[in-house]
Amino acid sequence: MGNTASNFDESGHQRSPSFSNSSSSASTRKQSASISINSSNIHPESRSVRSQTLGQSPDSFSNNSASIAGRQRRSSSLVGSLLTGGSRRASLFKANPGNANDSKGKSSSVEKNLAKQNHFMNLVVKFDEIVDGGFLAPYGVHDDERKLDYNDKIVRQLIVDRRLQPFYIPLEDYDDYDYSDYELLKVLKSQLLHQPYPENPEKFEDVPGVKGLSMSQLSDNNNIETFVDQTLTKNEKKIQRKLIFSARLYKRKCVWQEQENERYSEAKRGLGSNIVMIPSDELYLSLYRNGEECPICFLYYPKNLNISRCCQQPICTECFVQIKRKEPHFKNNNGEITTDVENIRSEDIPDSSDALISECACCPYCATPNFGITYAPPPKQIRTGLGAELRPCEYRNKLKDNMVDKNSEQDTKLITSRPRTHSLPATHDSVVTSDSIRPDWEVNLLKTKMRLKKRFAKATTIHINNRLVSSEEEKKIEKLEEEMLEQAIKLSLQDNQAKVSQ
Amino acid sequence: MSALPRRIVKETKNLVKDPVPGIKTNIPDDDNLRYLTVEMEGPAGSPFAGGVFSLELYLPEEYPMEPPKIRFLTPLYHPNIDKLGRICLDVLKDHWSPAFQIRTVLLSIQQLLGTPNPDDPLLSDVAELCKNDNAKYCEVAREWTKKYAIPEPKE
Repeated sequence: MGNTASNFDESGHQRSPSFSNSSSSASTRKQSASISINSSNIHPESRSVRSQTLGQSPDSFSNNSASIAGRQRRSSSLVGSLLTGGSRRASLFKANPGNANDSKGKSSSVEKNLAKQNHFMNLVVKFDEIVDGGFLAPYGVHDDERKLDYNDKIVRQLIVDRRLQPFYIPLEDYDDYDYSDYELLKVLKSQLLHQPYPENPEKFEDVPGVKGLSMSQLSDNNNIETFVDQTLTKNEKKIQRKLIFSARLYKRKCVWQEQENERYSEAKRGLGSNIVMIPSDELYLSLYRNGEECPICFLYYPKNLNISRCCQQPICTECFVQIKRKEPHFKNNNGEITTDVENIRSEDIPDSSDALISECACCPYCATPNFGITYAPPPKQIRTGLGAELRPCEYRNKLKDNMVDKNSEQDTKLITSRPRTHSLPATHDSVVTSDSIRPDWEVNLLKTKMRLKKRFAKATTIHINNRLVSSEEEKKIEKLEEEMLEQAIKLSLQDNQAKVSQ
Repeated sequence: MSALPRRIVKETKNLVKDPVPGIKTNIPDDDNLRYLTVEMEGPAGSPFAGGVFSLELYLPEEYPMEPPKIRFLTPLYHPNIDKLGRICLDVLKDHWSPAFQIRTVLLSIQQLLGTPNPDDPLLSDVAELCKNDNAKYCEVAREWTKKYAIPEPKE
C-alpha cells in the first residue's frame, strides 16, 4: 500500500475540480424540472387522445369499425395511460422524450456522484482535525462502505461539540503487553491515521478506466464514458459507469489518505503546517493509559467510551456509526423480514407499498429500540484541538491537577463525575441516536415506497391488459371501455375548463 | 486483503483454548481463521442426546456487524433445520446483534436442538409431527441421531 501515492501527480488537497461540476449539474436540473412541468399538461382534446393512442398500434388502422382486436388494444392503452398518470400521453407530444429522460438521469447521477465524493472526502482522517486526541473520521475498523453511509457532517459536528467520542486510533493488543510509558508512546506514535486499505479489492478487480490514470484523470467523470463497453445494453452500461466511478473513488480515497498520512508523518518530524496539532506525550499517555476495550470490536480506546443510553454499556464511535436501521423491508406475520424489495411482487404483500417499513436500530446489548448513546467528554480545561482553547501539543498533566484545585464546584463535579447509572430516553438532549446520524432514513423509506408504487401500478396495468385480451366476455369489455373513455373525456374536459378559467 | 480483525483472532483463539462444554471448535486451516468446524453434542434429555453433530461456521467479511453463517453437516430430524443443514434461528438472522459472539450463537443452536420451535418451522411436515405427535417425532429424531450422529463403536 505504501507506494500508491507516488504513482499520482496530484499533490496536497486538490479538491477544486470536483466542485466545478456543481454548476453544470444545477443547470441540467433546471432543464429537467421544466420538462416535468410540460408532462403534466393534459391534452385538451380527449378525442385526439383516442386517435393518438389508436395511431400507436400499427394494426388498428385496418378496421375502422368495431374490430375486436382494435378495441382491445385501444382500451388497454387507455387503461395504461390512465393508470400511469398521463405520462404516456404526455410523451406522445414531446419532440424528443428519450433525450429528456436522459438529461434527468444524468443530472441526478452527477449530483449523487458529487455527494458521494464529498462524503468520501470527509471519511479521510486528517491529523490536524483533532479533538481531545481523537479524529473526525473513522480509523476503518469496519471498512464496509455500505455501513459508513452515516451523515459525515453531523458526526463531525457531534464530535467537535463533544457529544460523541472522537474516532480514536485503536490499539490492538494493549492487554497482552505491560507497556512502559516509553513503549506505549512508541506504539502510539507509529500508528497510521487509517488502517491500510487493501490495494486491489476483489470487487474492483478488472474494472476498466482506473489503472494507470493520474489523479486528475481519475477525478474527471466526463471521461468515464470512453471506458464503458459500448456493446453492452443500456442497463449494463449504467452499471458499468457506476462501477468505474466507485472504483475510481476508492482509489482516490486511498490516495487522499496516503497524502494525509504523509502530512502527518512530516508534522511528527516537525515539518509542514499545523505541528501544534500533534499531541504532547502527556496527552497520549493520559488518554491511553488504562484504556478500555470496546465489547464489539475488542479494540482498546481511551477510557471514556460512549455509553448506551439504555443499559449503560460502552461502545466505541467506530462501532456506533455502524449500527443503523434496517433497509426498507416487509415483515410478515411470523416476524420474518423480506429486504429484497426490488424483486417483490404486488400479490406477495396484502396492502402493497404501505406495508413497507424500516425498523429502528436496537441496542446491541439489551435490544431496546431507538439505540442511542451519551458521551462524557473531558472537562473543559483540558480539552484540546478543535473547539477548545488548548492545542494538542500544549497539554500538560499538571494543568489537570491545577484545574481541579482552582475550579468552581461545577467543574470539579465534572472531573470527578462517575458514569451515568440510569437510562435516558432517546429524546434526551444529551443522547445521540442512530437515527440522528442518519436523518434521511425517512426520505429513503418514502422513496422506496414511491418506486414500489410505480412498479405495482405498472404491474396492475399489465394484469388488466392481460385480462382484457384473454377474457371471453366481450360485452363487458366494451362496456368497460366505454366507461373508461367517458371518464377520460370528462377528466380532459374538466382539465380544459380549469385551464380556461385560469 | 486487509489484516484479520482483532475480534476474530481473539474469539477463535479463545474458542479453541477455552471451549464451551459439549461444543468443540476446530480451525481446519490456520491461514483462514474465518472458517471453523464445530462438533456439537446433542443436549441431554433430547432425542439428539448421545449424538455428535458437525457444523461448519463461516465469519463473513462484515462480521461482527453481520451474523456468522452456520450450517449442520450431519443430517438431523428437526423442524427448524432443513435437509441442507440450514438453521432457522432468529439470532442468526434479524435478531443478530454485534454484541453476540460465536460462543453465544453456538449455545443458542445447541439449545434449539433441545427445544424445537415448530411454530416457526423450516420444514412444515416435521413441525406438524412435532406438534401433533411429539412421541413419534422424538422417535424419528432418535433414529436419525443413531443413524448419522453416533459414531460406530471401534472394534
